[in-house]
Amino acid sequence: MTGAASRGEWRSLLGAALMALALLSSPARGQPPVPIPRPDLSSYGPSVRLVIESGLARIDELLAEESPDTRTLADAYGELGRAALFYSQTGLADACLRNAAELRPDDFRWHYYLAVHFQNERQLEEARAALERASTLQPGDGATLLRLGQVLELSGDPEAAAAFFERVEEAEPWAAAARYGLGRSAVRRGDTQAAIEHYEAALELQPNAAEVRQQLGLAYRDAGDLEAARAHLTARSGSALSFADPLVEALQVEFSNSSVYQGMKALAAGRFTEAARHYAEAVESDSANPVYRQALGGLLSTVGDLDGAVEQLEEALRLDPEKAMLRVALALALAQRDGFTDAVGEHFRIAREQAPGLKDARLGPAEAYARIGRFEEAEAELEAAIEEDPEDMDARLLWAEILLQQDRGEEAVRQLEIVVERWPKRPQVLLSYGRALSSVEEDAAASEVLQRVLEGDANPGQQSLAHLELGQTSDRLGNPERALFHYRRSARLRPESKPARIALALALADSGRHSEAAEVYSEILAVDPEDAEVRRERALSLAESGRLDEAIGELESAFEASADRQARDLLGLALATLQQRNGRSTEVEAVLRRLVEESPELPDAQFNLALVLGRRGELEGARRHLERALELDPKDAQAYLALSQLLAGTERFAEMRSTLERAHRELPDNLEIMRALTRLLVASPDRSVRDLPSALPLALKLCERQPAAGHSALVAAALAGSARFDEAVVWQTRAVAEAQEVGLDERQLSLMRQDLARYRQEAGSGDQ
Amino acid sequence: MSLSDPVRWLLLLLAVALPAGGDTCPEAPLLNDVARESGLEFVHDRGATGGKYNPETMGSGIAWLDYDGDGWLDAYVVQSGPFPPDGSAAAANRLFRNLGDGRFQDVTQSSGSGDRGYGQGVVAADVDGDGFTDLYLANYGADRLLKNRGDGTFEDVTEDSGLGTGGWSSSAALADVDRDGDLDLYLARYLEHIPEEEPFCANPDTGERWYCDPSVFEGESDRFFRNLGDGTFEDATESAGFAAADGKGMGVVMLDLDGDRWTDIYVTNDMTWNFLFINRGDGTFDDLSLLSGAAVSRDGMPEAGMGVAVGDIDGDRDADLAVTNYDVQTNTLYLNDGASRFEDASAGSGFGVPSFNMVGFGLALADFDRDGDLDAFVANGHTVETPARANVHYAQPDQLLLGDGAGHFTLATCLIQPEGPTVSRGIATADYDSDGDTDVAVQRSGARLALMRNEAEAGDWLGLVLHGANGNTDAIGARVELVTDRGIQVLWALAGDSYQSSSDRRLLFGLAEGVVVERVEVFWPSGRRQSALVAPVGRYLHLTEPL
Repeated sequence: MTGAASRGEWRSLLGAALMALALLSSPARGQPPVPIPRPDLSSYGPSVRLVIESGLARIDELLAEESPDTRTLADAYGELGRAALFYSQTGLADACLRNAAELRPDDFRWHYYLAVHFQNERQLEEARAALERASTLQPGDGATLLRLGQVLELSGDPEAAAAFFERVEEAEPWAAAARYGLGRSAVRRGDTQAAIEHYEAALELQPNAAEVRQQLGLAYRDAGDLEAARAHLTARSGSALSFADPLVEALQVEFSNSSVYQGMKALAAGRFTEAARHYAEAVESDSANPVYRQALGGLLSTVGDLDGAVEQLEEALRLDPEKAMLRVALALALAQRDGFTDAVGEHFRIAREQAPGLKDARLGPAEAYARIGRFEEAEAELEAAIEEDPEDMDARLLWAEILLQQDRGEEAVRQLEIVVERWPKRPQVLLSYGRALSSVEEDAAASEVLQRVLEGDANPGQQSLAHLELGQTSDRLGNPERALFHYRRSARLRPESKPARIALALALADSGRHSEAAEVYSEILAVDPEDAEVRRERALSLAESGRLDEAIGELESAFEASADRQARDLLGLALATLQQRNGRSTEVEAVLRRLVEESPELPDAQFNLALVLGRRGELEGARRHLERALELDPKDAQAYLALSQLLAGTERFAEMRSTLERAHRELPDNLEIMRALTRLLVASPDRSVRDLPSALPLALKLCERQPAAGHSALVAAALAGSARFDEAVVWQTRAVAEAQEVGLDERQLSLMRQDLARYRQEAGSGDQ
Repeated sequence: MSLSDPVRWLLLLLAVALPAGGDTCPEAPLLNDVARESGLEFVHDRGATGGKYNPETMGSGIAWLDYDGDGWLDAYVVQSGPFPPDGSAAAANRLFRNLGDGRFQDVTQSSGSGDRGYGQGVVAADVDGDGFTDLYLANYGADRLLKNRGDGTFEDVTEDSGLGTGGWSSSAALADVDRDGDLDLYLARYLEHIPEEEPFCANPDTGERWYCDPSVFEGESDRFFRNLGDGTFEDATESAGFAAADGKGMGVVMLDLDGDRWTDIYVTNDMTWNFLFINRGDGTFDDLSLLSGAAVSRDGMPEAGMGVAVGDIDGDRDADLAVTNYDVQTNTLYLNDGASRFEDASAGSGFGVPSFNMVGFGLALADFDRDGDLDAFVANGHTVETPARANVHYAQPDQLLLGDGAGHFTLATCLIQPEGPTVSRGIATADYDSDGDTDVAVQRSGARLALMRNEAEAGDWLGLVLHGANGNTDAIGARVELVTDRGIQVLWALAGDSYQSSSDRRLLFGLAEGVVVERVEVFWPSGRRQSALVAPVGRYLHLTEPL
């Protein structure tokens, strides 16, 4: 056979073969078209196992029927295929989705998911065929058209790809990806300028998409604009280009276990709210699943929603009353909410009966007491446990942790010494011991113990914590480079750990390596782009490393894009600060005005806007905002001081006095306020405001709290104002001596000496 | 044929499935493993103790060289050995002498070349310009320079040479970057690694301990040594402009990539971006990595760069780069526009997709099927015994990709016999039996070395042996154009490429049936150009650089 004739013959043979295969494997005969593999799920978590195993069971059940309904069977295959697709069980996904698509050739979903599977596995021909089938069923579906473009582009057919991209480029959910694809096609045509335009449009829509930035940089390079090329190529960003893909997104939303999975990911990254949302979705999708409820309950307990936690854990326990660990979790949540009630004790008792060896049940009461701050009772429980079994190292370990919580490091060390002797290699023990030694500033010994954590079989989380602790001890030992090394290791071992990365970023910033700090903040943002605080820190680091414009640009984008009010507040304030540093006062005022409008209860915005207005001479406006700031926070010392200065500037000394007196009442220990008020009372230009009898005790208090030449001089002035010149001479002499001691400049010394001479003169006159 | 016949059914389905698999096979395999019968018997010891020390999973390489000057290519095989390294006999590298009749003889002891460091890479070239091929050994621990005395023995001259840096070296390459007539050394170094501080890393699904990925470690800085021409080297890492580069070096090639006749350097890095250093011609280099487009994938992401090979893949007479990577990332093909501006052409070229589930290490571009264009041999094998992804395995098949000379490849793994999964690392090509086709030796982690003899019968060939006029006696860095009635083929003489390995420095052109060779143009590394007429083909032609 040769050439076209042979291909035609093969096609007809293939068609006949497939038709016969379909007939032979008709579900009516109880045989699946493609046998489905039974994956080994032993290493997966319970939620994943549940979905896959129940999916397999459902298919087995249908196949056991005499004549299963095709649609039902297709759906069963399809649902399991989707789960397998999500969990990268590629063999299972392949078989299930093929079967689903075969059984229901008119169901768009199965062709689409099959195409996604093929595309993920880079089986481009198969992906294209599946997408074409999907496209005939839903001709205008944007995600299908876009994926067709992508597959064709990956297959080296940019012209055909471009035709698909063009069909969705105007539709917002796919526009960025489509413009990117069109850019790729333009490059293939040699039209660099068109490529740049497409890439720029894509980047505008998705500013953090790494591939767009990379290709845009290269396009600028090819166009000869090396400056723009470098700017894009060196701006490392970590996000992938995304587009609306409802069916794939549905995988995450619809599978309850995928919600748990997403929840776990969010939890690991410290995004508690998001984690709680995912867990709640899981519970909603399968309210009879105790695992999901336990996960949600545990999380709610962690974030302090104890009512919610108790509700979930009680329901979980109702569903699975034999689970001792669940009972312990409930008891702990109840204890935190209601105190150590009889119900709590009863739960612990049952848990101990159910699982006598379960450490959490045995030591649960002590932990419960500790959680509610009843440390004495917690310790009594542990003491009793240890008296009963001196070898109960778990009890000693928990006791040590409780002692550490109370800053009783020495006692913790003593407990841990016993535990370490028994369990010299357990990473958790060594970690606690290292922390305890560190808490009593035995830094060298702490370092040695923490190093042992690293040398043993600690898991990455424990190693990360050990490095974090070692970083802190190194810091205290005056070795910032070593500290940095440990923070780096800590962050690398647990890339998802925010504390580790934040410690690293802070250490980098402290050592003046602001560019690197900014990189670390970027990595955190790649995982949690919504963290406004980190975004602000990154911007500040960028600014410190001389990239002020870039910092401002990023904050502007983030500020505009953020819908969360708290985040906007944080970003807006940082933006205003950097704009101020860059001398962009118009923009500063505009941002602050927006903040004040959107968040009228944000004292910092009120305060900053007041300063901007004050500098511009709009004193009434400034005053209004400062007073508003003080309404919001009556203990805002800076606002009082700013307001008093503003009043001084307008010579409203009586109001200034009442402001400072109010401030002093609110903040009686604040030295700055005390000093400002004393000065005013001693030397107000408006004599009616002066009040030397009131000033004297304030001045004396200032001296007592902070001996200083200026304070002694204030006492002297107050005394002199009350005609007590002899005492004034003593205090002024003291002031001059203090001034000389600290090296006050000659001009000020001279003024102080003049006052001293005057007091002496007055004292002499009195003598006469 | 009856459709009800189940056996016929199966045959029919298999028959229609094969073309869709994209794996093109002619009648007989092209590459057959003859290591055992040839006497090239070597078993790699990676020293795996269960401690999952990262170096255990990274080595090692192989070099082809004619150490005794008899015209036959001998094999130098790098051993790793027990870990942590103990310098025992089990760690000794081995030298196998080619007897010229298809068999090899172990001459390690008599040659004195059995270094006992924890071996990773090797590069073979005439470092001191005396006409005999020396060996530079990139070790985990102290590196070594073995000088070929010319009498069949080697001498360790590391200390006197000023080389022998410690730390973790992976691959090395040699070329004359300053055109002073001797070979300078670039050393790609991997990670800062202290066995006592090996972190605990685990399979996220099973909790089973496995090898940590490189992100857990700091990178070890690469080093560059300038040859002073008197047997000694100076560390010019900083003065040449390499000190600021922060990578995790795996593979390296040195050749002119921007067409200015000065030797440039390309380094693959594991999970950090690859380096492209462009030679300014004044002893210093510009780091144009990101600007070149060859630093990251087309998605803008750094990849796990392992091995690297160069060749004119798309027929435009400049050096394109091919890089092996980790699974999912796919291997990368960077096409050069002649001015060291590269485009990631992996997608659509047929080069990237077949590697989706593979972890690639060794890589060679050569005309394996002698049809006048470059093909690719890719050595695969995962770094962890229990990979997390479904469909990805520790042992993986090596792959042969047949090129079409215009930048496209077709998978033809079934041309390799025996097929089947192994854990491969460094590979080096050579026409070891001088029959005019490219054979390949494959190092396998913790397993037996393979010698894949090429059985090509189609087409013709022409080999070139270059003799440099100065201390660069092998003319490393030379570019040779073969002008035929069908077009121009280009090859470069390199010392060090692939992964931790060093291939035959002779240049072997495959010629499709009926092609008429007109002449060769040699662009010597000194800057001289030479044109020579060729007749007949089917032989090795010796060309000496004119003075």
